[in-house]
Amino acid sequence: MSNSPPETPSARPVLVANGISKRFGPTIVLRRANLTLRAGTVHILLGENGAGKSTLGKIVSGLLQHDEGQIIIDGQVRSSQTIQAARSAGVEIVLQELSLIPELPVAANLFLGHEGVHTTLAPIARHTEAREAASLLKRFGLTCGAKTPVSQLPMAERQLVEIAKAARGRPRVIVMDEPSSRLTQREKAALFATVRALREAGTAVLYITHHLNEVAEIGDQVSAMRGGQIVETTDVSGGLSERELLRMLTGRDVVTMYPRLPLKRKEPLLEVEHLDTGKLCHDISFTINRGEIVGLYGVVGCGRDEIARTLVGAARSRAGHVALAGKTYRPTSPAAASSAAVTYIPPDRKENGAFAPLDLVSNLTLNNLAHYANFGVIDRGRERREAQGKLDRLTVRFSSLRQAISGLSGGNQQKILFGRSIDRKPQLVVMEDPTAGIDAGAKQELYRLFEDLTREGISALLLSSDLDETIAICHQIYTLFNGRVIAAYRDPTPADRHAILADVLGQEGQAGRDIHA
Amino acid sequence: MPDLGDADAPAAAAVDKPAPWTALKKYNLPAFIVLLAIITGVLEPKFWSGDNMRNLLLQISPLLVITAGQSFAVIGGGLDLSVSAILAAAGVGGLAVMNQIGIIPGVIGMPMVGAAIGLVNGLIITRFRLSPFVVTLGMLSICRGATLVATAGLPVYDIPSRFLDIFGDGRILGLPVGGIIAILCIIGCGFLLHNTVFGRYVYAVGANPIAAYNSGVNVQRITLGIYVITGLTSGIAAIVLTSWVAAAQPLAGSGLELQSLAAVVIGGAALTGGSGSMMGVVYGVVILGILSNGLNMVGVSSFYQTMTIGIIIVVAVILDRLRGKA
Repeated sequence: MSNSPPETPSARPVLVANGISKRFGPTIVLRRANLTLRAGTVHILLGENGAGKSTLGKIVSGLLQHDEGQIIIDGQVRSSQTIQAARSAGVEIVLQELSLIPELPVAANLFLGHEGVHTTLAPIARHTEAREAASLLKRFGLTCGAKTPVSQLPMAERQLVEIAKAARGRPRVIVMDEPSSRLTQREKAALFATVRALREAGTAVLYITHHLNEVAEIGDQVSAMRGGQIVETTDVSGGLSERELLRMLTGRDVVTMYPRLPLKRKEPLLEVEHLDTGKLCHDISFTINRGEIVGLYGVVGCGRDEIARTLVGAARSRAGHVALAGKTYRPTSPAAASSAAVTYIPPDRKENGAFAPLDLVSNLTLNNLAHYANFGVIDRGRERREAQGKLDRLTVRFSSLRQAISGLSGGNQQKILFGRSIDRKPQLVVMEDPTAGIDAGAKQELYRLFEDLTREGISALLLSSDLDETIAICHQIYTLFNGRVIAAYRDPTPADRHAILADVLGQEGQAGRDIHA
Repeated sequence: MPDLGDADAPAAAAVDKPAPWTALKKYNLPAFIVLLAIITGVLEPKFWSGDNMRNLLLQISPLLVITAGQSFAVIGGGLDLSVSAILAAAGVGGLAVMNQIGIIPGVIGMPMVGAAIGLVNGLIITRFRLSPFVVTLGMLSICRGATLVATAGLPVYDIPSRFLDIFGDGRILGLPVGGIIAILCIIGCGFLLHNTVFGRYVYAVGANPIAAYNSGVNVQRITLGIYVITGLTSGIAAIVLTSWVAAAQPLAGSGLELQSLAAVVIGGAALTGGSGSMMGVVYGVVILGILSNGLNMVGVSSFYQTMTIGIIIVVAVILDRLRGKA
């Protein structure tokens, strides 16, 4: 397949995003990002987790409103973009989470919200719908029947139906947010064919991905995002090497060094051997020493969350052996893990960690109430006194112990969740994205707390989406791709960045030491 | 006296920027109660008489007991619609035991029957991961139906007179025994909710069950405990109500399930769980009690009373929402 676009790269711009900025609370997600989409071209948007790719895609298609900048569609400047306005201008988005209703047949799903009638109670013209659905499915080479319920389709076909749904009205622009993330290699071929069909029809496709090999496969242009900015945009036709793409992705950032205490001696705490978590990971082995911070790094869908959930007892392993301090460790619940001195800081503080209406004390001590209680009765005075001191040591800024945690900033909330996880003096803390969405100052303070942790001989397993952070605070990093451990990096430095990214993006053999070496 | 909790503290704490009413909020419920009592007293001076006060205490006792339990369900993020039907079943069942075996087994039997039914509720909710709304709605119908079958639809008046003498007419330090039972229930439940690990876990499960699970709380066991408590308090309420009205009625306590939910909400708990207090329960029940008692004395028909209570409930929920937004 030729990589050259059907029209010249200077094809007419359909959509221009100019200086788009966006913040969520204290977190700046986009900083003056610029993007130009041209008719009949596939524009690949590359970036690591959290670089701002999805946010930019959602802003372009009106799902999110930007704070600054403008979006120009066909020369018409829009200072704000709503989903309705985007739709009527011919901009559609295919999200990572499918929007299909599994119980309804394909045809009904394709036309959901666009039944072509003007009142809610008007009858749906089922024959027309079925006919149009059939021709749409044919256009995208889908073999499923229009009457098949979506729930009976395999995942790949659902993805294609989703794209067909977005492409139904022959839009000018389609944004696809990581459309290949759940597809196998073979299924991806069908996706690529669909994307090419859209390009031939003159649609501008914004294709968001973190798979480097897809750039050469279907891309006409590629932009790299880093820290909320588009750092580079270039044509693909010039024979772009993956090495070059990696350089675009990582840049030459000077990484701030965070404190990392050297290990005094190696004393294994957690030994994971041939762990099979059931879904994605079937043979995972790694070791965590006492007082060591170990990172598992990989992109979304690499299976690291499965490993974390298994280790904290929120999921059961299917096979393999895990030993904690020399003894078999197979927790059946987070409560059991906690009794074995393994605690958990889950990702997404709001959803999985914080008790929003409860006060700071309750949020801090919940994992360790036995310590504050006699025969099940909490000594509230003692709880308060100890909490006061602990919150100070955690550098939490608060006005009253009785205030609800939801009134604190994200960083302060995260410090309390960290405090909760160590209140019981665990041997191991499993942390998933413990610094996500908090400001730089609070991050530094948390890193300091992690350091204190290792000083006390407590170990941590870090699953962070932030590679700089992972490199800076981990004594050892294991890279993951597609449910497998690719390589191990001892005392990683920013120089390992390229090799680590190559590992986790599926570019084996680029660099990196073999795990068994 | 154990800590019954600050009626408004958890919700008040959720407000970072003070809303206009925040300053008053800590005392607005007791202030409202005082205002209500003063107005009623002006309109009908007999409201303040010792007899009426004792009567008022007896009137609110069953609701007080049931709401003490209901607050666990609501703070734990659920609710129990079957409390009144459990009350009726426990009353009829306990009375059968009382007539067959004796007064003491009968009195113990009522809470036991209630706790057993609550255990069934809890087991179904936790084992099958069903919504408490649906399960307890079903249990409401099951218990009410079973009680009607057992009594052929007729009230049971066959009650040992010693039971009525002690629990119905008895007084300790001038207070009716039923009222004392209710007060003890509130104190006991308040202690359980505010001073024990179990109580703290109830708040945690109601505030965020996923976070509670991740933090090592056995969410299923806490949930099970909650519905055993609502059943148990329903059974205790059966002792109070049966001895007071001197009959075990198959339709006893109808509407108490909604009144108890109303009282919990009026008392400042959010139906979304994780907030509320036992003091709030007291305020909520007293407000509903004075309204009903006062309107009765002033001679307002019970039809208007029902309407008034409805309005209070809706206003309380609107306030709850405004509080959540602030």
